[in-house]
Amino acid sequence: MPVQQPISHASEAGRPRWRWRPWRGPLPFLLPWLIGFIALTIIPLFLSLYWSFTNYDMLQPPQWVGASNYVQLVHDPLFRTSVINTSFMVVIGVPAGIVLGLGCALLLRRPIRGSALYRGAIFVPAVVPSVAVAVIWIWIFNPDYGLLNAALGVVHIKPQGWLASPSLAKPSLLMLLVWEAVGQIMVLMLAGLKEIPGELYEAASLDGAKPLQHFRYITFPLLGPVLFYSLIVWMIFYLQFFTEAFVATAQDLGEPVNSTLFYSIYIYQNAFQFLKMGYASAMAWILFAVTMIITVTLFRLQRRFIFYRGEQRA
Amino acid sequence: MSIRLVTRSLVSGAVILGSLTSAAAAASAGAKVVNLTMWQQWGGGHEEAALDKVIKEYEALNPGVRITETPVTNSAKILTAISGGTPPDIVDLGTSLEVGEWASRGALLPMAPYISSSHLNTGVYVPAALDALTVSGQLYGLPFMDFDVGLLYNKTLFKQAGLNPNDPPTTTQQLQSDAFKLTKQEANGRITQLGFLPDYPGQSNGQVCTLEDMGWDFGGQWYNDKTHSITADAPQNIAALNYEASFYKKYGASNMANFESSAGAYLTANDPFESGKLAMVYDGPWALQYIEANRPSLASEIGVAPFPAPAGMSSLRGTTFIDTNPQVIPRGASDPSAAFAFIKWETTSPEVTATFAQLVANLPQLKKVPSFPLANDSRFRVFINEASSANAHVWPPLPYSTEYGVRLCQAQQSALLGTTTAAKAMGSLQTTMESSASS
Repeated sequence: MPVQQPISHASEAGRPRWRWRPWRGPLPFLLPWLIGFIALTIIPLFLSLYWSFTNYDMLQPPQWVGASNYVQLVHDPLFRTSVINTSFMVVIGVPAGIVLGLGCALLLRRPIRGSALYRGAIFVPAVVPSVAVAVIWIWIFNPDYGLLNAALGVVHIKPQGWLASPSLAKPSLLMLLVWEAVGQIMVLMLAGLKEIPGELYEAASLDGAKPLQHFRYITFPLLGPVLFYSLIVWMIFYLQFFTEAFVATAQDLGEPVNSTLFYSIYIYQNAFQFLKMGYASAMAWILFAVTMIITVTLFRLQRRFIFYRGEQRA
Repeated sequence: MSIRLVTRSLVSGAVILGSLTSAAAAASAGAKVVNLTMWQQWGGGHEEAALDKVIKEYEALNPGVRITETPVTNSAKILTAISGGTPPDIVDLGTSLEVGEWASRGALLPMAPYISSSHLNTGVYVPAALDALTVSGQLYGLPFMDFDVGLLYNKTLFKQAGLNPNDPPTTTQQLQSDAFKLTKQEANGRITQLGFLPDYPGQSNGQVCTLEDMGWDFGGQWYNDKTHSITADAPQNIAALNYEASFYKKYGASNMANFESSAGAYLTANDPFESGKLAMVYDGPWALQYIEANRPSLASEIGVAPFPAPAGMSSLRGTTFIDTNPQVIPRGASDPSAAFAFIKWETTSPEVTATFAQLVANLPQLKKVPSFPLANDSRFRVFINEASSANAHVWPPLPYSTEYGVRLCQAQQSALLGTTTAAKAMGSLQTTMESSASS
């Protein structure tokens, strides 16, 4: 395909220097995606913003109700429950995944016998589809026949009703999620660790630094960008957490006693079970706003805490 | 490849596609075939096979009509198809739970015009199930294969516990004392055999979650048709929930929850009742059929009785929910008259009804049907008799039926697991639903 050379021949012919001729450029190639993106993402996005100010049940035309959906949310005890449940996952799940992922990466950093196998084994959960993961863990959590209780039985710990108990269901799901996340975080961290030049450790050793000091003053600060990336990505993932909880509680969403009623689950329930599309849209926009605020805040903060190599500091 | 070439191939593709569709259109115009699509919630297996036979029979009687059925068990999918303007012509729903919601929002066509033009006498149907399809006085579908529940009990376990296998409990007090005798618990709290699990099988068998049945059984109601008000916190409903919770208190809520969650899937050989771990269950006639298939030796050991009522309220014995498989026509259906002609034939044909009832062990929706083997079975007769009694109730078809049901189950669960009291659970259900009803 001819490459556009607007400057040379445009000026020769005395025509405008540049002409917008999209059909000659990349646009025809982008068009299929662009149409899909506009029709299936951009338009629904703004429709949902509009619906969040309406009563809409998908079957009748939406009715404008102003901010009443947002006002109602404040008084909805289950909205609060779902916020608390989701916050639990974010506040505990994100650090737990990063700490464990970093730990695995540090352990498997140097080539030891079978390190490829260990790395592979830890990463495997990431390639299993979430629904399959959930179904397998439902069995692992089974109070009578599950692997987890069988393992605990060996050390004489009383069998637990992992997903059946209102106090254990959330931590159980968290366990499952961290198991899925650790491998992915580990791979990222391994890549980050490779980037750290060996001379730094060498120099530190010559100055008499101990391994813990290596970590504190070299590894940790230089991994900053990778840690920060993981933090953002996994925070967003946990805020939107849906699939595994949906599969595990398919019979009765949020069971037992709303302990697994996460924010996205409650959006789904309002939208598709209760036909409250407007209410669900309002929830979705609040989630978007909250995610945005947290992300922007973290990006502001990172300037103070994260050090990028090659960057000059005043 | 140049853009021109891409365009050329796209154009030629469109031409081919266009000629194909016009050819198909010409073919159908010539034969005047009416194509109807039907989404059904029986799923696959022998129930789908039975439906296919019914459809074949109709097609043979009505050449020129073609019906294509597809299993679509996900109701949200049906709803999206209706709201998107591309619904099937007929929907064969598994329960009436969504009928109130959909009908009150104009998603379903009212039956009245078709009933009058085709002179259908709705008096031929068992009346209770029609209530489930009646929203604000209007009928929004025709019933097919009704179902209700009673007390199923395992005679072998009765004998082992020293109980008379031919004397099932008649009061809820008796049910409880029998259940306690039928329960085995290990020292660490694990329940290996349970007399009665009050919230099982719940939604799996078409109930909202058993509490609604228990409420009716205690003389309560969930919605007052006359005052158009929600009555979740009626004292009888609270008493029913307290009764259910007493089982959980006796053996420990977490032990009961573990028993329930470790059980295999409903209607399989590993479900708690079929595997002989649960002695009594509030379930329907189809369960007998599954037991016969999964555990033939157990089948003859299952007794059936009307569900017990509280002492002193013997007239409430045999309380049950009743529901049907609503045959509805969605708004936007391409040929509602043709669709109605089929569902009318399907639901009023005594032969189809008898064959289907026998096959899926559901109740005939017609008052009069030719005799079929199950109809003479004394156990099956318990369910048939209940269906036409005053103790057969329908979950109120309201614009917010699903939400009411979901929240009822949440309330039940929180009281059973002891995170709140029965009175508080029903009180907050009442408040929540009142605000949902008004918004």
